[in-house]
Amino acid sequence: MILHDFDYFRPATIAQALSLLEANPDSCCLLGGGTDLIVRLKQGRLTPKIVIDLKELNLSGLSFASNDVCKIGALTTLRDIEISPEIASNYPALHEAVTHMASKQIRSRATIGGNLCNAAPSADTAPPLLVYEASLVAESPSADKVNQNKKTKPVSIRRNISIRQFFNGPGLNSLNQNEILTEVLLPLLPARTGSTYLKLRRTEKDIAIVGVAALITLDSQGTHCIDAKIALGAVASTPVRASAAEELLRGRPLTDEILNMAAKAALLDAKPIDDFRASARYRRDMIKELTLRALRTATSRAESSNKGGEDKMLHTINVEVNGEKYVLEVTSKETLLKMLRQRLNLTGTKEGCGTGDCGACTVIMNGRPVNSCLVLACETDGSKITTIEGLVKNGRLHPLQESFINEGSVQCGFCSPGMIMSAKALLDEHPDPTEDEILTAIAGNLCRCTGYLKIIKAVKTAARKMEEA
Amino acid sequence: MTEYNILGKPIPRLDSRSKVTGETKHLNDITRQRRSCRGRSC
Repeated sequence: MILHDFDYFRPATIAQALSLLEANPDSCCLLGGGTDLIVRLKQGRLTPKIVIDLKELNLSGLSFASNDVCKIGALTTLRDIEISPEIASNYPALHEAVTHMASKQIRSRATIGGNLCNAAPSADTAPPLLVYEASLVAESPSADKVNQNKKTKPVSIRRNISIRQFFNGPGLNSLNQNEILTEVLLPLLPARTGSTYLKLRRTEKDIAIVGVAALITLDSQGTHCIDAKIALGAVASTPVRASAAEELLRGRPLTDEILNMAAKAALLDAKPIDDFRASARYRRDMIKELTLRALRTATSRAESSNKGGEDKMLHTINVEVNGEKYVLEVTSKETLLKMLRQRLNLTGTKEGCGTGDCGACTVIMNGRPVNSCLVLACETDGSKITTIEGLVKNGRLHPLQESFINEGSVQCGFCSPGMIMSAKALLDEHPDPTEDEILTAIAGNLCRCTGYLKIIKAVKTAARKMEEA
Repeated sequence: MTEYNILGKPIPRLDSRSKVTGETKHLNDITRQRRSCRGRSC
C-alpha cells in the first residue's frame, strides 16, 4: 500500500496549527495517533494536500488537579487512559471501554480525540462519555485580527460542546472546519454512583457489535435510583443515549422487574442495521441483554461505593488467644479466621474453603473445635481461643505434633494445623479414644495428599504417649 | 550383609516440624503491599 504525496507539518503552537487549518480548509487532515488516518490515506479514501501533526501541541495527558473535573487531553493515547489508576477507580466505564479496544499496538498510538472525531457509530469511548456527560473543548482561531496583532490576544476561542451534541452521523462530528478538539472534560460523579461498559464483539480486537454503557446513582438509603444513564454504541447512526429507558429507572427502586423493563425500553432509541458483523434482530436481542447486565453491574457498584467509612460499625472485644489477653476493635463482618491471620498475624490457622467444609481453619474455642471461618470476630468477646501456635509449651512440641512428624502424617502441611487442633480437642475430652472416635473427630478435616491412615496412627501414638507420661 | 542406618527405614521429613507448629508460610500466608496498576505488567 502506497501513500500518495502530501506535505507534513508539525506546528509547535495551537495558534500555528489553527492558522494552517484555516489557510487550507478543504485539503487538510489532522494527525493524532494515525491509526485510522494512515489507513484511510493508504486506501485512498482521503487525499489531503496537507497533514497537520498535533503531537507537539501538548494535548496529551490526564489531569485531576481541579476538584470537580477530570481533564483528558485530546491526544492522550488509549493506553495511557487504560493504565491510569484514577480513571479505573473513578470512571470504570471508560477504563473498561479502552481496555477492550483493538490491540495493544493500536492502543499505544490511538488517541481519545481521534476516536471521538472519527465519529464511528461503534466508537467505544463514546458510550462511557455519554453516560458521564462529558463536555468537549474545541478551539478555533481568534476572530479578532486586530487584537491578535497587538499581542494582547486570546490566541484562540474555546467552545464547549456537550458530548450529546457532538455526533451528527457516521463519520460526522459537529466541529466547524476551523476547529480542533483539544480536551475532554469529565465531571466529578456524585456519591453512590456506579458505572460500567459492556461490549459484544466477535474477537478480542474487533469493533463492537453492540456496546452498552450504564450509570446508576442511588439515593442516600441506597434503595431508590436517583439518576440513570444508558448509552448505546453500534446500534444507530451515532452513539445514542437510551432516554426512554433512563426515564423508567429514575426515582424507582431497582427491582429485577424494573431493570428488565428498562432493558426492553432501551430498544426504543436503537435503530440497528444488518451488516456482516450481526443481523439487526440479533443486535436488538443483545441490546436488551447487555443493557440488563450493565444495569445490574452499575447498580451493584453504586451499592458497594455506598459502603464507605460512615456505615462501618466497630466492636470492642476482649479475647484470650493462646493465653494472651487482647482488646481488639473489629468490624461486624470480620471473621475469627481473618482476625487471627491478619490482626494477630497467626497464619498457622489456614484458610481453605471458607464455608466450613475443609476444617483447615479449625481452632479450639472455649474447649471446643470450631471452624474459625464461620465465627464472627465479634462473637468471640470473652472467649478463650487456642490456635496451632499455642500448642508449643516452653519450646517443647505437643505430643500430637511430635507424632505427626514421626508417623509421616504431614506432606503439604496445609491441613495439618486444623487436623492437629481437631485431634487435640478429642484428646482433651477422651484421653484414650477408639479408632471410631478418632474418625469422627477428624471427619470435618479434609486431607488431599497424605491420606488419613497415617494421621489416625499419629493420633493413637500421641494418645498412648500422653497416657504414659 | 551390611546393616544400613537410613536406607529402607522411614525418617521424619525435614519440613514437618515447621508445618505442625504453623510456622510454615504457605503462599496465601504471605502478604505484600498492594501495588498500583502501573506496577503491574498489564
